[in-house]
Amino acid sequence: MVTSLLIQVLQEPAIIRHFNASDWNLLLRQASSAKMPARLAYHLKAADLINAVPDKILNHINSEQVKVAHLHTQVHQEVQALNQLFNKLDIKAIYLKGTAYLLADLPLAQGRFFSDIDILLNQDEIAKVEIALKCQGWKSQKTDDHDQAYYRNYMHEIPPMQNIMRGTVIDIHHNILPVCNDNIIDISLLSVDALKLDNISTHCQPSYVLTPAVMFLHSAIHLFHEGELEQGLRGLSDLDILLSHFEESETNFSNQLIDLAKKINQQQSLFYAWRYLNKVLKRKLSTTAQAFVGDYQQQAPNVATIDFIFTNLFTAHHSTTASWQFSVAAQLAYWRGHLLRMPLRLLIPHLMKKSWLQLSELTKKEPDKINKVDALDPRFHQLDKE
Amino acid sequence: MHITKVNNLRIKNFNDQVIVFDPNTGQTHCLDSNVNEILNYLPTDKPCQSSQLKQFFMQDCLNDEKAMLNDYIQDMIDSLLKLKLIHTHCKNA
Amino acid sequence: MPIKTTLNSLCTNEIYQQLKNDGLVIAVGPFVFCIKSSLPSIASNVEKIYGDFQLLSHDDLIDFYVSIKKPKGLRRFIKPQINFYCDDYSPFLPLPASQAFPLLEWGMNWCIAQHAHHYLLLHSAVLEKNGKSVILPAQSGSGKSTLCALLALNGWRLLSDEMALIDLQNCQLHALARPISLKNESIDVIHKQACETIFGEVVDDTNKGTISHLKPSTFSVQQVEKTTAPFAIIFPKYQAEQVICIESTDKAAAFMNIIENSFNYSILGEAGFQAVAELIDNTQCHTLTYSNTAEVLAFFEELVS
Repeated sequence: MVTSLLIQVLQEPAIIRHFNASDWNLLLRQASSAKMPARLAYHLKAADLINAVPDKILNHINSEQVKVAHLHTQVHQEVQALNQLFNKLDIKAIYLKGTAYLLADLPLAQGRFFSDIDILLNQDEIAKVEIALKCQGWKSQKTDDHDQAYYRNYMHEIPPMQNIMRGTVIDIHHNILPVCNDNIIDISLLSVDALKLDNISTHCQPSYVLTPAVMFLHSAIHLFHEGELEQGLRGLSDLDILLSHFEESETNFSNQLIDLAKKINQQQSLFYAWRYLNKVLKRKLSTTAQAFVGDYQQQAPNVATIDFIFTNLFTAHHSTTASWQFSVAAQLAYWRGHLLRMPLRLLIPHLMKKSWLQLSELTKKEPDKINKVDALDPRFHQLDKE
Repeated sequence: MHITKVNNLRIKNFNDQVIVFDPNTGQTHCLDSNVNEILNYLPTDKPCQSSQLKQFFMQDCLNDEKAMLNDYIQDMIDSLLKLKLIHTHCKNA
Repeated sequence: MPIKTTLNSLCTNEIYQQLKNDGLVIAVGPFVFCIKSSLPSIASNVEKIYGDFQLLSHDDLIDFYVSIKKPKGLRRFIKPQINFYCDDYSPFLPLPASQAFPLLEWGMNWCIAQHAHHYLLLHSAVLEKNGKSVILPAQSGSGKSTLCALLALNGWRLLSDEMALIDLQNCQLHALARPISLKNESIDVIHKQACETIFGEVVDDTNKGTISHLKPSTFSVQQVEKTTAPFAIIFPKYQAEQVICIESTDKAAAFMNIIENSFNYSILGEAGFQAVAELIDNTQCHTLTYSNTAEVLAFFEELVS
């Protein structure tokens, strides 16, 4: 397995000092496909190497940061409006993932693009929130009955809702993992100590996010249950930066993580997080973490297969990293992801139903979002397809 | 109604109109000079009563003009609220 | 001053081979494109239209890797289609293979519009004469493309027919000098001009009718690195049988018009606002209604004299 140039730079940023144009071109392509140009800049800045980056490459990175800055402005506006809604309903909603990182002003939020606003609610609060959102112009994205049933019966989230005016999408979760999964997490253990952020001047109502250990573990659980890992490397990099930040700000963070993982029976996700941070990004683990990983490895099932999957897929998914190992790993990950979300007894009927529905054209493929740059989009020069 | 202006607005003045950029929303607005007067009057740090604002702008007008001017100013306040350039003062939870 | 190698230093077969294999690397204004395609129509149009452009190599920094490819499967052969890729990503639906070159042009515009946010990007033509640059925002009914081509054929340096690039740091206009895209009657109007015109392939099955691309003048391409301060913004409107009419545009209205015509103002934040404010401050803004070629050319000559 050849380590991609992007990973080599993440492992050891100083190698860029010896780069020629060809290396920079490859690095930019891989970073762009992994959605990590700004993350790359973050590491280079931290290593005091940003001056070694050619202007042409910096322009691309800065363009990415412009898009992210705009996203952050929009998200702050949405959160302000959502918080007012939650306040009226007397509900404590917890923000997750990208939105949470932004609201908590964490280093990993810098330059990090995300597409949806993720929220965690108690399951019995979802109905009234859904109604309130619908009154404010939010619409469920999935209209197909089968999709609706899939989400509501088996998943840990309801179908995403989209604001018809602004296009923003909200993902409302009531758990971290699908409820049909054999290992249901008691979500109250995670949400009970949610952190209140009331120091953001633009927001009248406070926002809530998960506490550090929960935030890290949530990110790890999410990453290691994914079937499609196109942004897997970015997810691993998120964990890397979260770990660095919390190891500094928290006491005994490794022990906190181990205790929490035991409480919710997710030691495996923690094991994977530490293992692949070390294997893929060459991150030095704390003594406690090393001991945990060493112990858990003895009893972890299928370690060789899981290693094969993640060491091949935690990379840029790009034509320059293609290999037969990559293709096999992607297939394995796809099936693993599905099986983790749904036991086999449910998965097969679900997949069969989906393909039947598609064959009989009862479901329409979601049309691509039309680029608002109309004049540059040839679809506007081709009004009716032949 | 207690109102304050949002922070950090950027203004470009032209003859009868102003262009206002609001970094909080990322939006840009073209306002006529009257609306801009209202905006200029409002502080960003402490809330101002809308009645106080109206009193200021109506101080030199004739009695029979007051009702009409009151409505006009209220319309402008409503427009600014809609554009999120001003907001009603939040009570702390 | 180092002499630049241009694309026309390669023979037809060399161009075809480079496009087919590792990709042809050319400088397009401040950007470097690596173009890949095995389609003969791409090779012939690129050779005809991009001859004066600086030829680079894979040892240079490259901004965009673009390609036009046939899909796998039946659509390679039956009613053949093609796709545009920016690296591994295909942002558009496939088009008929006959539209390969227009699709490449549209795709290259898309790449810049998506990834060049160190500029304020306006949907407009930009031309320069006597050191004075004029921006022509592209409203519908403006006849912008025809007007742009007419000016370009009458001694004006073409910076762009489609996109103004305004540097956010210093408000200077940067040139692309790319082919001018013309449709339907415009193609005939320009063909009839007295001066020499070189057109790419005429593609006539798009639903906007017939499209062709006019080769930019050698002079425009050679001057592509010369930046310039904006002098005037002219909002053109073509109206049949209308005597030429010029009106000063209210500056606040011009400001709002410019941001409506921008590809990326809405995401630039304060930097965009300041750039437009400076642009409006430093330019004269007019609305121009016209129908007659000679009259409109005379107006522009007068404007920059």
